[in-house]
Amino acid sequence: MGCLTIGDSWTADFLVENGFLSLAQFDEALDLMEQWDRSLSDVVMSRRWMTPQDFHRAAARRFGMTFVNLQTDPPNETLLIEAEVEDYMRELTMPWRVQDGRMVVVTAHLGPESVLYARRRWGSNIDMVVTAKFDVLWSLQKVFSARHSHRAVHELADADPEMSARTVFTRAQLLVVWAGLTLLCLGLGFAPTPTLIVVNTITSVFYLGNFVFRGVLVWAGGRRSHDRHRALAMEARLLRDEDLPVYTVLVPMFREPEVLPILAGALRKLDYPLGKLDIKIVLEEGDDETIDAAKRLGLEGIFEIVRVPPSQPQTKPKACNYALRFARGEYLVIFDAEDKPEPDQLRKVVAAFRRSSPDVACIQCRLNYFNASENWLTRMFTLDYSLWFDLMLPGLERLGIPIPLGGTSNHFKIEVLRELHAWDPFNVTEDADLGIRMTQKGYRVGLVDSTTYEEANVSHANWVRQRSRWMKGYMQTCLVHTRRPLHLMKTVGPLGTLGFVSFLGGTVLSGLLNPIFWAVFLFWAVTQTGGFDIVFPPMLLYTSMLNLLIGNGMFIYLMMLAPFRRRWVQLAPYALTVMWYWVLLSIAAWKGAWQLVTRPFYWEKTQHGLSKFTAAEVSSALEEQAV
Amino acid sequence: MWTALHLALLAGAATPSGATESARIVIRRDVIDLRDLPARSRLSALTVDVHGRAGSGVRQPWVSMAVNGVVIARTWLGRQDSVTLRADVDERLLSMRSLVEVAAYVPQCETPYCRALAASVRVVGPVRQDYDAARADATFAHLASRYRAGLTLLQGPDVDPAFGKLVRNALAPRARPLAEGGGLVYVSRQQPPDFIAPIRFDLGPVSLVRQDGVTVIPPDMLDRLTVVQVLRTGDHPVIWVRPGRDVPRELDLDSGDIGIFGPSGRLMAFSYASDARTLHPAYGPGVDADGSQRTKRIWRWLLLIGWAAASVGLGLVYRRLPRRVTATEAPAWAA
Repeated sequence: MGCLTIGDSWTADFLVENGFLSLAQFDEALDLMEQWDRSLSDVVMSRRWMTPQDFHRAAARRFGMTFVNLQTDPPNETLLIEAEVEDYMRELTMPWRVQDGRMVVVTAHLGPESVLYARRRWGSNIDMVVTAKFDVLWSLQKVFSARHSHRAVHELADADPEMSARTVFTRAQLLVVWAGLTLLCLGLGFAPTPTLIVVNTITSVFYLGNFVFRGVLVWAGGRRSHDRHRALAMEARLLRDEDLPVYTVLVPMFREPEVLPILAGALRKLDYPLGKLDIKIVLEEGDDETIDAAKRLGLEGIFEIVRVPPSQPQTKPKACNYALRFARGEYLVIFDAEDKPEPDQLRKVVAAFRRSSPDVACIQCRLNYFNASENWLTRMFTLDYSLWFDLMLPGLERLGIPIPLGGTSNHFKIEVLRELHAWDPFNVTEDADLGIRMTQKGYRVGLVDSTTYEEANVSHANWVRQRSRWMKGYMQTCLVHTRRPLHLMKTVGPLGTLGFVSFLGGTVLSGLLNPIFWAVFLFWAVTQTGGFDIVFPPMLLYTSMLNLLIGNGMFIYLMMLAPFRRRWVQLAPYALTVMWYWVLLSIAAWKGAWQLVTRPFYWEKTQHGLSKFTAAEVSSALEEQAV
Repeated sequence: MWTALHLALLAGAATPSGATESARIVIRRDVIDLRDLPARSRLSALTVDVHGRAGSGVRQPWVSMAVNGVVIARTWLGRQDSVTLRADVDERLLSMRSLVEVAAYVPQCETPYCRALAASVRVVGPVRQDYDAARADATFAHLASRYRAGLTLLQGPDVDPAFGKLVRNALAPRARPLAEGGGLVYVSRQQPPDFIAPIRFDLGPVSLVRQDGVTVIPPDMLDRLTVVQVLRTGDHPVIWVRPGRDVPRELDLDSGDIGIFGPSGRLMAFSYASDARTLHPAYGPGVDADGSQRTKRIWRWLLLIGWAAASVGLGLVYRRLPRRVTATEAPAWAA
């Protein structure tokens, strides 16, 4: 158990004496401090008994120190060193001004640790003043916003250009595309039939391989290891609060004030000491509606609001990179605004990290939807996600193939994240890219059987927008990681390379190719023309028919299997209507491909909060908060 | 693409495992003459009732129906006394006189008992034919029903009248001569106006060559032979007889849509639609008989334009690539 410092003990007494805390709160605070191993300020603020300003003002009075409001009395910027920002944030202590030849250090961490840190860093000739916790963050944000913003955008591209999507196509890739195109045109011009047969053969082999590969993935992923998950859940329950590390939760948002209550409610329900959560709501500067909504909900006292200065590209990874500078946790997780993680998720992840080998740098949790039954699209989306997260990703893990991370609920070791220069702000599926990059850099991604429930898209247009971004991002990821095929092969192995190319590349390519083959098939079915016979010699014809009937049948079957793990049997029949879903996928793939050339870094925003389920969730969250 | 024909071929190729030839008995052999079909109709399906003595276990007879050697229907007699075999008929299986065979066989038949089972099977009644409206696409065989409605013979003054009689005998021996609204036969050295023949004789010397370039019939020989071709304009097929030097003994227009005849009879017949790749007419240099050269030129120009546009697009993307840098330009605040 943690031990109560003398400073905190005195401060607690003072707060009770001056009516800031009741005796019951005092007792609870002391218990929680010991249980969580956190300071009094963390406990008091996490319980929202006092605002940070009031607490630190009172504490300053208690110790006879000066309280400064950094918003009205900002620090001397020349004293702040950018490389030390992480230290400032961790210690909540930083240089403020030089007065009468003495360095004045400002701290929001009242205790001997901050004094020791200050003396070690700036010598013994110092004075100390007190400020509120979030004033430190806001001051640092203000001073370093331009630098951090620049680094958020360019750090990866500068340090590791081969891994950045800032360059969409390399010269070599363009040359290969041009050579392939030229060869194809020559073939079609001078030997059209053999060329079409060759093209047809290649695509048939691709389809066949794709079906087989996905079948193998589901087979491997379906071999559920109950024992492993039970053991992990047990370990998570046995973890003591005081042994838990500080956990940073990043919630990037953009103009989504309506779903904020869901997030607040879900985070409060997490089975994790609130005092050990470093929750950062990452907003774009100027997103006043969300900032105002956060203020109305009284979230400022618990959640830090990070305002990302405007710059291009305006993407989620850039915002996360920016916020990462201010993260204080040992681990970090990203949630979307409307996410509802299972309460024990963070504990399970901590347990998983502790039992796994040191090279596991990221844990991906499963994603699924809370509004699956809303309409046809949400049902299909749920089937799709169930197949992806419940069967295919475990298959990738089992086969040792790089795992493209899902959009949220990926938990990182923060040190590794910083070492890898975090997310690629130019990649619109930065999560998938990071998963592959991690594997290339010698780290592994693990999976944990804990689900985060999200809002599935309820409208076709919104869905296509979102999926076109994913498709574009998969293309970017493939382009980035196949720039150096030999390097890729060396770092992830032949199976990993094949798996990665098949999994992401196959998803995109089949989306692009399907409409062409559907059109050919429909034309043939309607006209019964013999014109295609020439490019379908018997062997190829039978392979194509195998792909068409058995392959697609198998896909439908796999989709039907997907919801069984969650016992959502009622969704299984909808797998039979997957054809229209594939049509939507193809529309999204072509839109993504077009945007890859015309607007490669444009972030197609997914509108959240459209579901009636979400509206119900919001009102329920607001009621709970009121209680 | 999958077709009924492929299915039929597959079915025909896959005889039951272990079947022995000695137990196979053809129990009905009929000839369907397409010239006897009702006017303007085509054969669409065949049905036959089969009766036999049911066996036991695996010793049960199979019955099958084949058209021109290709099995189009097959079933197991099972424990019933009689079954009905019915199958759609693909027109491509048919010739002017098509052979329909109904056979019975017992798999793994090595005993007199099972041979007796096969022998016990018999066809009840005739092989029934179903008809459908005739289609526009036509071979000699398919045109027969159209000509049954009547036949108009247009014959040039310089042509031996025996040709007309030959054609009528070959296609519609029982049709009324010179009936209006029936099929049209054009006998002339010149091709009918408004039609383009598969083998053209108005473009200079023409030969028949194989895909590998081997000449099957040289120009001077082809010029001496009688060539019969089906010409089409929409739904109006015409048979054009280009007379040769001698009148052939007979015109055997059994299959295909091009027939070539010498004095002693048919030399060859083939379908221009399906065999054009393996056997096609070749003209002198510079002749573009079917417009294929023109199509090819247009196709290549389109490809060139597409390739050029794509290359320009790729060039633009190439120009937009950033310079290869290891660090971005220092921002203003770093100065």
